[in-house]
Amino acid sequence: MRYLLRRLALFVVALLVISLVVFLALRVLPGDIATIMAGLNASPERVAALRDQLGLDRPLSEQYGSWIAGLLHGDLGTTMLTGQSVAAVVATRARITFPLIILGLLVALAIGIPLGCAAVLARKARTRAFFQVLAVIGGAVPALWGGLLLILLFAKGSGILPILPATGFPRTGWHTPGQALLALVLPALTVGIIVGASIMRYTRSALQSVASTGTIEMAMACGMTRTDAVLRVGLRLAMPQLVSVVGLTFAEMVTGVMVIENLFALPGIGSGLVDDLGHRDLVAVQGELFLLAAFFLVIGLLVDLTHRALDPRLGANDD
Amino acid sequence: MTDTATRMRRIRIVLSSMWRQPAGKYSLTVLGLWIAVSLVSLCWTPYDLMETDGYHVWQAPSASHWLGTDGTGADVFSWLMAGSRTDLVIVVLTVLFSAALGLLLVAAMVSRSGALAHGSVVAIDALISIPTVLIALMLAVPMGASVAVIVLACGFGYGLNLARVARPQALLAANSMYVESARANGASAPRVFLTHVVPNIMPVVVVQCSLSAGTAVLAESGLTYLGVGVPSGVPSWGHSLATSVKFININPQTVLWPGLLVTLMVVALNLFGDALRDAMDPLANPQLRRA
Amino acid sequence: MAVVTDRLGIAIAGRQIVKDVHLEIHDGQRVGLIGSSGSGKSMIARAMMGLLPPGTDVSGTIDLNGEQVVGMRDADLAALRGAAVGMVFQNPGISLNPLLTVGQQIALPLRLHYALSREELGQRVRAMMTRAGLPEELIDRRPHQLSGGQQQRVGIACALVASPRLIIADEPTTALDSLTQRQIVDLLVSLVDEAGASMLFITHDFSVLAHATQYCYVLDAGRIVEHGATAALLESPASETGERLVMAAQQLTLHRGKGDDDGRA
Repeated sequence: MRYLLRRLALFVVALLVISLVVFLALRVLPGDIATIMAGLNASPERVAALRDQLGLDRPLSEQYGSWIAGLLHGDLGTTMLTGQSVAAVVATRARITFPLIILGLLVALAIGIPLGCAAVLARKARTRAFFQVLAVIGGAVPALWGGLLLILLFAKGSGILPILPATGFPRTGWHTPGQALLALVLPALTVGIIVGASIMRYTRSALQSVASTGTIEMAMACGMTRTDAVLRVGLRLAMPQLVSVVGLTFAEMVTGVMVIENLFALPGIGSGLVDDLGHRDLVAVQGELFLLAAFFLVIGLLVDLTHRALDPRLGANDD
Repeated sequence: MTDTATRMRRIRIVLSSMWRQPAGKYSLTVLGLWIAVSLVSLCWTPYDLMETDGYHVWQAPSASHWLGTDGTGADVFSWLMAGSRTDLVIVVLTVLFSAALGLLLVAAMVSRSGALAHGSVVAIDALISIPTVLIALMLAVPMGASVAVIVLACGFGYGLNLARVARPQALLAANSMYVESARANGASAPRVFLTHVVPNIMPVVVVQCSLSAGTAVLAESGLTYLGVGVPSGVPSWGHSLATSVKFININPQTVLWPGLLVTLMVVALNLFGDALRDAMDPLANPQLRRA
Repeated sequence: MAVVTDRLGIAIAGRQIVKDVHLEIHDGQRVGLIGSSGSGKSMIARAMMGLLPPGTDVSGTIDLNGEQVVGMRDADLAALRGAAVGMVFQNPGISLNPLLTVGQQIALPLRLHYALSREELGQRVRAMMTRAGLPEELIDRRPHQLSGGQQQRVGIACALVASPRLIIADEPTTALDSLTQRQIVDLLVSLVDEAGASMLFITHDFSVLAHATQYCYVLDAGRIVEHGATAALLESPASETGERLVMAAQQLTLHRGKGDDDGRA
């Protein structure tokens, strides 16, 4: 209980710190925000109007206060380009990013966990070396290149085995679910393979750390085969570690898939943020950065708490 | 004089025992080549980087252009060569920055002042879940695309990570008997940290730094592609990789090289840390105990 | 169960840990294997159970009642483990599965080897707990809620519940305080004798060995340097290692009363 309270307090403090950082990142710009936002060829009147609209002439503390007050009401600001609310824009983009990372994570788990277990179970030195090499190389491939290779292999139009589209998200979006899903397959595979390599490494090291306590040995001494002991006892005991890793990985993927979204022309959260940055839409960028950072903090909080709930040894000291 | 001599001998022992392992041999060779190519590229590349040739754009690899030419007719091989020095600078700066930040945070976490120790742990826990890309984008708002964005964002993220990973070892060392006695003998806090805590967390630091180095190369390629990394016109592997995206419908096989290069380099960086840690460990390397 | 190992060698990653070990345990005999830490004694125990991690090379022979263990398939080894050979580990606090209750823990070998009804299983587990000196109300506790001595009693109960003919105890008392050490050794000896099983007792502490075994082998740097009846060996060790270990045991015994012995390896 005390841990919960302390962790929650930490969360609130971190949220405040992040809001300050995001806010200040925009105010320490060399030059004037309004000038930057308005672009190179803007008239002085346009700049002045923007200054007024953004309240840039008010003191910093007041600006910060009104921004926070807006945040508390769920108001992240409006985008300069379309005048839509930032929250609505992000929500639209999330409908691409989240399906993509969920698919990607499923692929990653389907690849990473079995390979991680196999790496621990491998008997022959050569097999173990093979898994080692696989993990090292898998963790060294740039996402962009991985995507390009898969395009070369499977994309309709340019692939060796042209079976999947790589032509961006359909205009009709999720109204044509089949098309939309198909558009996500190749990017999800790319993400899955790259994240799968890291899931594999984590699975292997989590299993090894469980094995080092002797629990797997003990289960074997009771009559389990090594395979059984690793899969039934080891994996279960490694679960808290793996859940943390999967949780954090999932969170990281929201921005981690930025490059893949860009490459496959998917208007997701990450590629959208880069676009807004390119358009110098700083109000939108400020809102999105804060929203993402808050999201990561929430995930960090949830992962910490789940970790404790899954591991009875950690809870024991709390009473 | 003898001090430098012993130090040189120790370095030679470490390098030679790294060389005896396949992973160490690979990483030393590749990293050596990288440094050599970076130096050569300062004074010579097969073609001038800015040399454009409107008649020979999007060329397939040939005897005159080993890896073909890009959309301006510039030689891809020359750009990759020149890119190696940019990436080398990024890697070195990122590792230095993250190691400095990480050690500073470790020092704060093991300090005797409860508020400082607790505060730094809280700060790391709170900030560590924010991914590097997001930090890079925050920095890119005021700074635009620049090498500094990559170095600061990566260095910040990896520094926090280093501090968190090294903390248990550091606490163990800081609370040990020999630190107690050093303190009792009047050693100052920075002195205790440098002579007793740092050597104990060195293996962790080495491995983390090598992972950071590898990740920095990957981050460079991603951030540059997104337009917040190395500014356009500056050669880097990420730049070549991003350019190769446009090749894909013209000379698909050309896409292979920049990515392959990055992959090989990142593998070498990651293996380097493990090999160095093992070679530096007096328990695993008996030669060191005699030196 | 009778055990004979001959020219047993164990190598990890090309480094020879155990060399040319010949060791015999007769039916119903309690045999000690003593050596300082790092001498390779735990490796020998693990080789007998097929518990060595992948990547370890075992050469020579290990004969359990006529069955050749070296090179046996893991599935066949698993059929022996828990049923024919039971093992007690050094550090039950971390090797017991933290998620299982005492009851589930002790029931595991029975579940793995026999198809018993729920009632029968419960009966056997309860009976074993009583024999191991564990109060019945502990049945739903988890390892972290037990004392060190209780944890090791659970470890012993797990090793013995399926009535194996050979018990391998790998430093079963090292992690315990000296008072509990004595109780655990007494418990092990009485349970093993009661069942008529044989035991291989591994330790670095002669003072424990004198009480627990009739015959013993002294291991140094992976080789057997001396063997003989435990009492005689304690009286006049022939090897240097033997002498050193006997001396250490005597010195430790002098300090016994102060209860300062935590001897964690």
